[in-house]
Amino acid sequence: MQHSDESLRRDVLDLMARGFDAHTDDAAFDALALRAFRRQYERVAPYRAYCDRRGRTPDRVDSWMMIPAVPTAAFKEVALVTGAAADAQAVFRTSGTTRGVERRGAHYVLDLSLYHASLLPTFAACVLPDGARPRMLSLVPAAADAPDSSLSHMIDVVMKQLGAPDSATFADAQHGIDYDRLATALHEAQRADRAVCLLGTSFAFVHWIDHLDAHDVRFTLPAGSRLMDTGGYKGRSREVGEEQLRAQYARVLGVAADHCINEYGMTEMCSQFYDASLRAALRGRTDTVRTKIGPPWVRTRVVHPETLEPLPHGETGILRHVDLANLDSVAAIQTEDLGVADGDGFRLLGRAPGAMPRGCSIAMDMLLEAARESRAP
Amino acid sequence: MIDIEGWHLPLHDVARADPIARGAVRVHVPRLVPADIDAICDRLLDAQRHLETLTTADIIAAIDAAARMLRDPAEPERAAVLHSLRDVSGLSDAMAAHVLDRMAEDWLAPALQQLVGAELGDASALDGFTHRAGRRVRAVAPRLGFHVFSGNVPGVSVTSIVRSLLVRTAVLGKSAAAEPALAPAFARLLARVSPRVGACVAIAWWPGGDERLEQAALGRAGIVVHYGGADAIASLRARAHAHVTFVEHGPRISFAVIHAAALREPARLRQCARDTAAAVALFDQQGCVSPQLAYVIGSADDARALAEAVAAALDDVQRSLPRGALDAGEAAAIREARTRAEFGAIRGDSRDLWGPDSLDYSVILSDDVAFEGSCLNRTLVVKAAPDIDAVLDAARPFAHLLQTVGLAGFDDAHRDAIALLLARVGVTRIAAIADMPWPPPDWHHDGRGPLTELIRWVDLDA
Repeated sequence: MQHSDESLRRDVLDLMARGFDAHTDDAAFDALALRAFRRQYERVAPYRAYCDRRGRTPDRVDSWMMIPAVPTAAFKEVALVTGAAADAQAVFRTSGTTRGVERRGAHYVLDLSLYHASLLPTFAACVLPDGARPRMLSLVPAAADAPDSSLSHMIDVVMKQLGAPDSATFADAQHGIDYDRLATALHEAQRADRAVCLLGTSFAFVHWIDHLDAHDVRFTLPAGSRLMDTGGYKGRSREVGEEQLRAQYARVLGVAADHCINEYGMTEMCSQFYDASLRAALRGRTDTVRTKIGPPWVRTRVVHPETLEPLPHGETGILRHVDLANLDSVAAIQTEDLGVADGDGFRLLGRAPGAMPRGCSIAMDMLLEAARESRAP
Repeated sequence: MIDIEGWHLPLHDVARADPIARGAVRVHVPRLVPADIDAICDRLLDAQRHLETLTTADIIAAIDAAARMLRDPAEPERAAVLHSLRDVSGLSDAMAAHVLDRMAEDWLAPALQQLVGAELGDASALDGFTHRAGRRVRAVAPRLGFHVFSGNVPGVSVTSIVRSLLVRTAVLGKSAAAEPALAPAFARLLARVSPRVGACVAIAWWPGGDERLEQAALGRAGIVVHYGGADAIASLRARAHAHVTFVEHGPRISFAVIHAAALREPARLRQCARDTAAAVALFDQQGCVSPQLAYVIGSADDARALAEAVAAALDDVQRSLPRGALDAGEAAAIREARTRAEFGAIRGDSRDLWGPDSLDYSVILSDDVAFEGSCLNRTLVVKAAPDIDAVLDAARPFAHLLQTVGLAGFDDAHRDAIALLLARVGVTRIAAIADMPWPPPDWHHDGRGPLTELIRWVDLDA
């Protein structure tokens, strides 16, 4: 048992070591995914119960596509971990509220080396496909400052392993982003003609650009500079469309659209997806639509929002991932994100819109509002 | 492709906008400017003069004839409406036909006579000055009404038109995007059976929130009747003239209160579950009369027994009246609620979930007494409450949103007392659970008289 467990971990790490561009055939992926499923079914009691309730046990599942996917919301209710939660090397938590009550999901990561083994080759292949090791400037608080944040952890590791030695963080949890210090760093980069890589959430960039506009500041960052943003484009103060935001990156920072790479990740998953735009640009292609791609140890399917049946290419549905890097939690994850399968990846269309037109969220929001009003003096 | 004429503007030519395609249906819509609204209102006011010369019996006869045509399987307008209810409104075929037939019953002569009788005694006060308690009185309504319809329950638009015609108000209606077919189809049929009555109904369509067109309509109408969301109603009300009567039917929530006594014998439990399931399933729970929550006055086991039985009954309903289509947002909301309940059960607390992965229905057993809405589309939340006071306390903060309460298991002696307590927290209708979706034609919708809220009394003492 212990032996087979270690061999599974080794096989997954071997797959990751072969790199982002290695080909994995269906049979090889199936074999690893089914071993991971059996392990997780045996060790994660709430997941086992979830599978049993559907009659989908390891003996009855013969392809990665059949593995029961847990909804991300389940991470808010139970600990989905193959060992003791107390043994986790890191606990990443989601933010957010459900029906007015703060409920945070927790992803217990028992083995950070697996997380890093997935993260680094994927980031390198998608954000640094030219082999560059630029100075990285982060708009996200450091992990020491935000221990719950998987994004902070990820950026710390990326800066340390893939960035120039003088890579730095320009934000902290208390004071937000230090715009002045960031401006100084960018002016420096311009003077030295040294490319940088900016890292941050989309709404941090939106607010920074507002700030730069208000002070009439523009940068023309050196050739090869790039930017990775992440998270929905739904800012807390205003919404900015994806393409509009890229136009602003070009206008205010001088970073061309194909050097702006949007990351799609989630707290509940150890692996990430990125825009294929920079990889395509290096091959002389300009992608008209943004396709997200992931590493070969992740597979994604687009399923019908109602029936959860797989949808053909071109149809919009919700995204379901099987991530072998989630070896110690649950590999099969059902998101609340809408997407369309496209080429080797998918186009991300964001969260399913609130059920506004016919009722539900209206009723729910109104009830919450009514409760608040009645509590007011 | 099935073409639907999504408007009816008698004697007025308008430009066409690009049709709206949904499934196999193409809804043709007009492109209106404020001058169109003015011209249409002129026509309606002309036609209304003739309406004043007709008797209530004449008007009822015309409406009855149009309603019969809508119920006639050979009528092409009916077929088009049913296609639209499926492809645009998202109802299943069986539900579309069931709802249309049942709604249209309220537009037949017996229902309309019942409505007039219940509201005004008889039609004499509508037909002329009539003697009441030693004096002469007449029920007089504004000559032109502007009605804004919502799409959640098909046919409420027609009911609104019919009530206005009975009190001699011509109607400029605005269809909802989610239900564009029924009101114009009814208006065309009415014009076919009675040109004079039909000329008093115009159905327009425009994208929601076009304030120039709304302003044009508000400038001419003596009464506004608005079904819809709270924000849309507040916006229109703020722009209406102060002297205009504003009748609003905003979002409401309904629920069931079931005494455990109704669940103790298997046969009674099954009946109660069937009634609850039918009320939840009708209109896919989009109606203001649809129960979203069921309180069981009893133990946690009693609540569990009801939840399980309602789930079985909803499974049966799915075969006879299948659920309609969900959009991605609706499906996501239901899944999130289900995940919470299911993993609550897995964790071992007293929450639980019944329902197939296909989201045909969901019954969520909750472990607290808090008042809450469901995600609709056949999602029922079941809770145990120790006594009626706990239910009243939970519901009290939502007084202005409450509508119907379905009762089961209470004896006659308790029912009246509980009804008064519920009324005091804001409930306007208490019914048997089986009757929740189908109030009688003369019901006091949101607590007001369906005809008397449209009229004013004029005394002729000379």
